Amino acid sequence: MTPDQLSTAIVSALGRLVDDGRLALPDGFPAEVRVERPKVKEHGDYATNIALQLAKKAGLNPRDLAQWLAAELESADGIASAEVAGPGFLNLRVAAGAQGQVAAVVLERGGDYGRNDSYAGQRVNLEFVSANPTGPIHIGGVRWAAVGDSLGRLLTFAGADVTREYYFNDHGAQIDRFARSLLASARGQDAPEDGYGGQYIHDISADVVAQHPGAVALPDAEAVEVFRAAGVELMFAEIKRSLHDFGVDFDVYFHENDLHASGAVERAIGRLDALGKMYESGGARWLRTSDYGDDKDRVVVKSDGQPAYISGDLAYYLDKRERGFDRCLIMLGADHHGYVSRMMAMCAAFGDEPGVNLEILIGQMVNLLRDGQPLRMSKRAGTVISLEDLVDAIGIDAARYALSRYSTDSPIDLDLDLWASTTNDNPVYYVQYAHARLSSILRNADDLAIAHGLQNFDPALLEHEKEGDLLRALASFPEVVARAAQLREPHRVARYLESTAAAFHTFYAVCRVLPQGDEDVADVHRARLVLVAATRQVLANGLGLLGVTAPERM
Amino acid sequence: MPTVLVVDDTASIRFLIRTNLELAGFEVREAVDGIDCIEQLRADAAAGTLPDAVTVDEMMPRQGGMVTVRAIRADPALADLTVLMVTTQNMPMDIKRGMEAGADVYVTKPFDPDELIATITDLIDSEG
Repeated sequence: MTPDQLSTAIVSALGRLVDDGRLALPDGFPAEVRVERPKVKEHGDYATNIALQLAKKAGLNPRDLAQWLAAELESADGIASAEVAGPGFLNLRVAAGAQGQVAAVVLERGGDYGRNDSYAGQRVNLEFVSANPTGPIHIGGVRWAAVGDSLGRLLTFAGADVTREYYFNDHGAQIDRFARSLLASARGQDAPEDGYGGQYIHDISADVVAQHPGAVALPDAEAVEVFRAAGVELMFAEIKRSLHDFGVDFDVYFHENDLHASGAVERAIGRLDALGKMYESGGARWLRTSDYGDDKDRVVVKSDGQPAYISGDLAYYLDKRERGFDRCLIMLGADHHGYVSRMMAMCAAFGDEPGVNLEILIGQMVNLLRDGQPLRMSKRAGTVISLEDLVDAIGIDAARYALSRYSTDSPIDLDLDLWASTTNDNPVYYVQYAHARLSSILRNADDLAIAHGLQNFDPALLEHEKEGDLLRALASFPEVVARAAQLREPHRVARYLESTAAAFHTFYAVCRVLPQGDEDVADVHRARLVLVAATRQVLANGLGLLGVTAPERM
Repeated sequence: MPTVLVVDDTASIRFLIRTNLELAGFEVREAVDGIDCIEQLRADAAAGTLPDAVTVDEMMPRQGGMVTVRAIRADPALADLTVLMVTTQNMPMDIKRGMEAGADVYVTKPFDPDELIATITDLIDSEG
């Protein structure tokens, strides 16, 4: 019996209480009831606080409501017992056969097990990385590449229509410094004082010279323009290639200039004007962001008539909404923290709902440690640690897993030696090894010609305590992935995989899956093989959501 | 009567810890996530009613346990509080990270309620 099925059983029980007049629900029925896995075995297989949630509105004592529910549920199929605890918690035990059925559900749904429809019909724009093409993706951007892509996978799994978007600008002071650095390298000069260093500058400069042999000899202004245009193209191609190799591809690369060229800036200002959110003061045009929680109003058009920086943000947000996105998620580095309140105020000024139509996720810093010391220099990118540095050190799977494993609001120190190790202290190794071991067990079963399909599966045979623990872990996967999508927290999937791998190892240590020696093949072996196959499927599904491979062998 | 603030987003876990602590003679308050925790503690500090210890779960919506423990240690009014991380995260790297964030003790779930009470009592006594 899955948590979803338990939820349905509880909703049905509530319905019977309403029908017989004992319960009145002025706000209507809950569509679903959340059940949790208690952390203490004595509390049963699952617990719910639904009686506590509903009793007050229904004018009842929570314990009375819980008692009525318990009586209804004890006669429900698949529930062995229902007990009331504390002020009105309900602890449920699932019948052995009903619990084992979870393994069959997993195998029937296969790669779709855990897929849900919580974001069905919603169009989501995920904007992340968005680094200007002045150098390789630095480690902070890499965190967003891993987390953003995993979040995209989770939201897609939750039914959303997700567009991954990369916003960039190839003009301005940064790009100018980049172009002058390339030209200086081509001329054998030192990088400009405010320029960019690192081997990549020399590599790209050499490529520009190969494409445009005469550019070095041009007058400075013309030469810089050639190096800018060609250099940006080469740098961007490298960024796209390295992200692709990392398993991250974007659907849209949005150029800042397009906002100005398409009139989107004027359109956004016009819209806000029409809504009465703009005013003039000191020759400039202001947006009333302080009406929506910002600490002050913001200049949108400067007194010289030039658009201020925020005008691009206004136009870009409106452009996304006009492209039909219900939700716009933007992932930014910690240095953008002060930017959140004005963006949210801007969203509200358009009449939208901050936190729904616009969300901003802030990612904290990542430090790489080797031999316990921070890594400060990159092989190729100078003083910036890049995507390639991380992948070279620990590989793509470990990099993606490590960066997705922590809440983004928390800075992380990644110990490269540990993440490259083949020990159980390395979380990605631990989970991947469990998947490989599960695969190996199934291969051995095939070698012994032991069928492990669902044809002769008797779920009631999975009655060992450790089988129950593993089954409950598998049953909770749909809720974990739905919650990870809802909270924008892919790390919940990683932590879930680790605890499920641990539950498998404990099960495997005490429950013999394959017959030994001359032992006959028994139905319990076949049932356990189904559990093994189901566990492998769930680990594969979870690893896939993190963009990490599920190896058959290690 | 010593007071403990229990911070966990799961109602049944808060209830479990509360029940056991109350049976052992503690007064218990609850917070549902890290932000709620910090807000309550700052109000307590202003009112001079800080708890004797705080138990903090790691994985919570809005603000997780690591960030919350760091915030407690970074706030001079709260920095001396006794903090226990009570969490399912039991990889060695997680325990190290929790201690580096500033937890006094890292307790992994599932935990033995008696051991948790003994640990809290020892910590409060040693601070005492």
